[in-house]
Amino acid sequence: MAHVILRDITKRFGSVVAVDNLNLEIARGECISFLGPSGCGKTTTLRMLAGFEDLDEGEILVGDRVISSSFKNYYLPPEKRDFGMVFQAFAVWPHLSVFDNVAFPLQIRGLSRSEIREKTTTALTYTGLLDAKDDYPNALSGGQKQRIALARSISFNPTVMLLDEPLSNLDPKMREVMRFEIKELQKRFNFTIIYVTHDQAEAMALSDRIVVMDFGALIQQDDTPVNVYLKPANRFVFGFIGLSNFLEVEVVEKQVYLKGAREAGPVTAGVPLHAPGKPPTLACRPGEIDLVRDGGVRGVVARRVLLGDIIDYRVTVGSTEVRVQRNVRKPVFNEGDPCGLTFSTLHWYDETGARVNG
Amino acid sequence: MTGTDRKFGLAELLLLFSVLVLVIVVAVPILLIIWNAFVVDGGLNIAGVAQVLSQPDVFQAVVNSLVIAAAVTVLSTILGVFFAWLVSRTDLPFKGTMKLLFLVPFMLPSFIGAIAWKILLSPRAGLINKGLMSLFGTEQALFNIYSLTGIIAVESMYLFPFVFIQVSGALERMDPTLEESARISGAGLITITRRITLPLMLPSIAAGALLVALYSLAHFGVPAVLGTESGIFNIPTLIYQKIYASGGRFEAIRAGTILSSILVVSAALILYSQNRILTAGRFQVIAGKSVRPMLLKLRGLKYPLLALSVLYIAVTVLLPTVTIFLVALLRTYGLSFALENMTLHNFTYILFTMKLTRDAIWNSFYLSLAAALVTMLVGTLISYVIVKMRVRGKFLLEFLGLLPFSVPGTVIALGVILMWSGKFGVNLYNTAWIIFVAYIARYMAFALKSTSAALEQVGDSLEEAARACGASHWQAMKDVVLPLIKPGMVAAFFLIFLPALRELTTSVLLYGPTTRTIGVAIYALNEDGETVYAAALSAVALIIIVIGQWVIKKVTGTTKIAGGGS
Amino acid sequence: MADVRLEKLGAVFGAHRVFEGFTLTIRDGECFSLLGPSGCGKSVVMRMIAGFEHPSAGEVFIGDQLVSSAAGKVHVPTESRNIGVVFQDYAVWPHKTVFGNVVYPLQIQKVAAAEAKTRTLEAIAQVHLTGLEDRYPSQLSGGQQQRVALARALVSRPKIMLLDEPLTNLDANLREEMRFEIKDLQRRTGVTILYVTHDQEVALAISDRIGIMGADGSLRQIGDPHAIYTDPDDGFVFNFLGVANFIPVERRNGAVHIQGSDLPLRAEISPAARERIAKGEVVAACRPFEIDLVRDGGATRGVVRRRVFLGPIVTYFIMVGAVEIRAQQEAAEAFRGGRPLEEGEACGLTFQALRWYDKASIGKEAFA
Repeated sequence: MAHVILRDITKRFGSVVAVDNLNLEIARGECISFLGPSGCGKTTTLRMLAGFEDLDEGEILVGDRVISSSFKNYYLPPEKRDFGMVFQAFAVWPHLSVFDNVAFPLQIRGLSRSEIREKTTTALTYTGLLDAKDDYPNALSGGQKQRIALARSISFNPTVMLLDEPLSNLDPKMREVMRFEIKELQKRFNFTIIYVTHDQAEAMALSDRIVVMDFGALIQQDDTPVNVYLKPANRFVFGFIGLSNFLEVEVVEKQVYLKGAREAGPVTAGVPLHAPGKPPTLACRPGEIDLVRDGGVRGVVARRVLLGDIIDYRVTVGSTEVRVQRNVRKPVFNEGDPCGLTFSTLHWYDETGARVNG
Repeated sequence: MTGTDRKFGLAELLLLFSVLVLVIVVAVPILLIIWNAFVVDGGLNIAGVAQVLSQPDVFQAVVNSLVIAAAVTVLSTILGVFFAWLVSRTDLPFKGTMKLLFLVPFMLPSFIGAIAWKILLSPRAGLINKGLMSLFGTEQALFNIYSLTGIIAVESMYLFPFVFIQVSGALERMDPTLEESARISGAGLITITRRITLPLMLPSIAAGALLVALYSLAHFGVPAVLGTESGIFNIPTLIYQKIYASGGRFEAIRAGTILSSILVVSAALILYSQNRILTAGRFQVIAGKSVRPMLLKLRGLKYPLLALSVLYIAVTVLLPTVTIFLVALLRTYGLSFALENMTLHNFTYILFTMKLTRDAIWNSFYLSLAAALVTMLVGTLISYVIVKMRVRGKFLLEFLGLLPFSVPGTVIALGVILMWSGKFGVNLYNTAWIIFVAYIARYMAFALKSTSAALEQVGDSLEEAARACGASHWQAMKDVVLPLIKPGMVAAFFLIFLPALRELTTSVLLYGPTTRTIGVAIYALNEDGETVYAAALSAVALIIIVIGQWVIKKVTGTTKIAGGGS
Repeated sequence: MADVRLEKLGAVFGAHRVFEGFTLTIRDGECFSLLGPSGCGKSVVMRMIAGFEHPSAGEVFIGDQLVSSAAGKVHVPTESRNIGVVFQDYAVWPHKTVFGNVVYPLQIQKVAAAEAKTRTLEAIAQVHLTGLEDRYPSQLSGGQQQRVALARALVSRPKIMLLDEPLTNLDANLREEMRFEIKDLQRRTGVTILYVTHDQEVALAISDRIGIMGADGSLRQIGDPHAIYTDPDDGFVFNFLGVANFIPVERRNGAVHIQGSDLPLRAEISPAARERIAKGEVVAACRPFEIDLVRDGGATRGVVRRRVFLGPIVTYFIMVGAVEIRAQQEAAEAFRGGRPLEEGEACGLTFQALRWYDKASIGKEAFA
């Protein structure tokens, strides 16, 4: 049985439809990310779940409880929803000690002093903050502040945790550490996590399921991270996750050539079945193309940049520029060198952006 | 750090000049007061100080000052917080307009307000009192404005914007997720306000409240107009009374300096506490992204509260202003407000015929203009040394620059009297120069604050970029720094010019027969019973202020209110 | 165009010692990056070349001219050094238009108006801002403002260009674009560039040579980016430039073991390295992509403690003995043949390249 259900959710701001008929079901204990460009509606959806915005149409259920419903004209305010929430700018209260911050929700719920102390200490222990319990947030680092926010949210054992870009304000090393800690907390407490982010690496690292959204919170793909990366459902998802090349091709006698570069040689003999007319667009990742001295699709190295682990090449084939990335240990090609491209995985998308199977 | 690449000497010269200016203009007068208060015939005389303080009128004045300041602070804080919360955190209609209207009391000189309230609520002749007495057929007046209550009420009316501005600004800039996170933790609005919002607002509330206390302690106008009749004195009005009644006798000056010392100490204490509260309680509560804060839905209370706010503005702003203008149009004071009793003659008289008022208007204009110009220019130079130059000894300037903030106008006036009445060979007493010097001392701190803020906005890299383009240090100053701080300088000019134009507290102790200012003229006319002329000049002053405010908005593009106290 | 020579430069201000004995030559026409952690003093070096700071010791030469000498009390002021500077916060003047900003150096030099206009428009074209000459900086984006700063620095045809972290405030896409533009500009004009930054990605991407500064202000290594990245001289540089594994080892029964591991490490280790291992002076170092992961076999065995899928690569944290080692596989490779390595599973590691570094040169943070 699904734990959180969003049914036919629509939200408008003036004439703009921020969320357009969204339907989603989330299982208990799942970690799901809403991933999409700025302004696509992912944050609005999260805020509707929290109750800071109310939906115009549709309903939200948690367990078998209705949280908000336009059909039943019912709206439960945020303070009654019993969710945990972590914000991007931490939202930790500077005038309260770490302990008082974490104890706050328990105090509101009218627990006894000893119960408050016990649950607060538990939350502090699991977030590694026990030694800092009497400190004030201003004396602590960004990562510590985010831990306070986490501890505060788990202290009352919520079943649902909402996280709104919680790691954006942390430096890259801290982000990696906190990703791991959030995952560990989820394993221990078994709450459902709904996570909003624009950082696809973060979404991939944390989630059981990624929901890729375009404007209007329109779902482009709802799948595991591995599937979203290796089998993007459409061109939008392919382009949003990871680096991409989108190449136009022409088919001559069942051979596929890069457009205007027939003399460079065929890309492949296999091409997806399609109606006559415009062939689908070839999409491939820079890391899934290799450079060879002889053979392959012939081209010339236009640009080479060392990025550390990776060397980034721009290879000109006819009038097309293809981006290729190779590990730094592999032999290096210089700018101006002739080279050949070999493709290991090809993805095809038609002009509507839909995936065509090759 | 390494030294600058200017020739050794120029930077040090500028520093020396700046220190000299501040010492002569600011530090010496204050020191003289303290010296005069505590040292007699070369020896420390604490017993004499105690003896003066125990004189009944002196003691009472000190008590009154403290009582008034305390009450005004409390009342202003309540009013300020209430209205700030109403405007920033509820769905009150017409919020933008209300916000501007609440700032208007700031623009009105409070002693003009006091005169208006005197016209309305004096026990025998007050218009409202007379109206109520005839309505209810009573003999006794309902309100007596010549009382501590009256002084406190009027001062609060015109000082609460200090708190209002601080608190509404803080409420609007506060990060809304601080309250949202409380909400999702289970707290309702009352709990959130009590445990989160108010504590985080405390530094702003305290900052505003302390400013109110400072102004009230140092204020001359309202107690002078409303208190002297019934013998209620505070420190500034007693100082004035003693000095004028005695004609400059030693004991009076001494009493004056002792009282001034109390003012200086209290002011310093207040500023110190404000500093501590602000630095200790300064929390990072400013939001990054601009998100709408949580608004309380007033529902049934919406229109009643709007009505209340409008009523408040009407009573505290509209009523006195209308009264002033109506009385200014009366042929003779005491006549009813019928059209046949109205005339523009009072205005033409004070503007073109009456020597007292014509001189006063002229004096105020040229003194304020000159003082504003000089203070702004010197202030800019000193700020440049403090902000941009790397010279040893800068801290001295910073310290000296802060001093005048804590010194009330009365004290500056007295200090200037002590310094420039022949003591060092220069006698400026009874000339316009002494007022000029006092104004510079009074407003220097403000010029420093304003221009150093402007200079700090001009990052070092902007000058360095010019140097890298081939510009010498002076070229960089001319081409980059000066154009960028010009708006700040212009703003500083106007924000000194307007308050100086209408002030009373400082010039009332310094004026001579030909050097009255507008404020002094209004006060003198009121004291002499020439109510219609006082009202007419007040009306003219109000018109000038409004025009001036409009000019500020046009020139600087902001709605900074030049005002607060007088 | 000119070279820059720094001879035993010192920056000691009272009790505050930033660096001493700093010696470096930046060759005429090269793009040189000075790379180091925050606070190491790299900006101070740049500011001394620009003339914004006086050195406490040593000398600065631009071309043949001595521009700064602590001992000889020589200090040619900034405005006479004929340099171009681009600041981290762009330092574009808000009260002047794009044209006004870029033409300024020529106005100072009293270049004739017609020629100044031509050269200014040329510079603006070089940074692809043609058409925006009359805009004010507040109407431009961050990237455009940065380009105005670049044009302004170039228009007077300076001998050298100094860039102080100019790309830090831009987003990732813009950074990539501007990186390319700077490199392109340099190639076309041949101007000598000193680029100061803490971001190794930029430094690696655009430089002819990189100089790495340690936190103590010392110059750890200078060299070509590729060489420095793949084979740095010391552990600090290795750690600074990318993700590094530092693997403590021990000698047991004549064989080299990863600390805490029962299996001997099967890898090629030179006799010299073995000697130093015996003395306990060195640790092994390699990058995550230099480890091959297999299910069975391998040069040594470990257990997968954590697996993180990041898109193009899968990162593994593997416990070998008492040491956690970070390895990675390309996603396609990891999922080939169905099952990638799971958390808790045993696996084999083979090291493509092991370097040996002095424990002392690495610094405590590397072992965190």
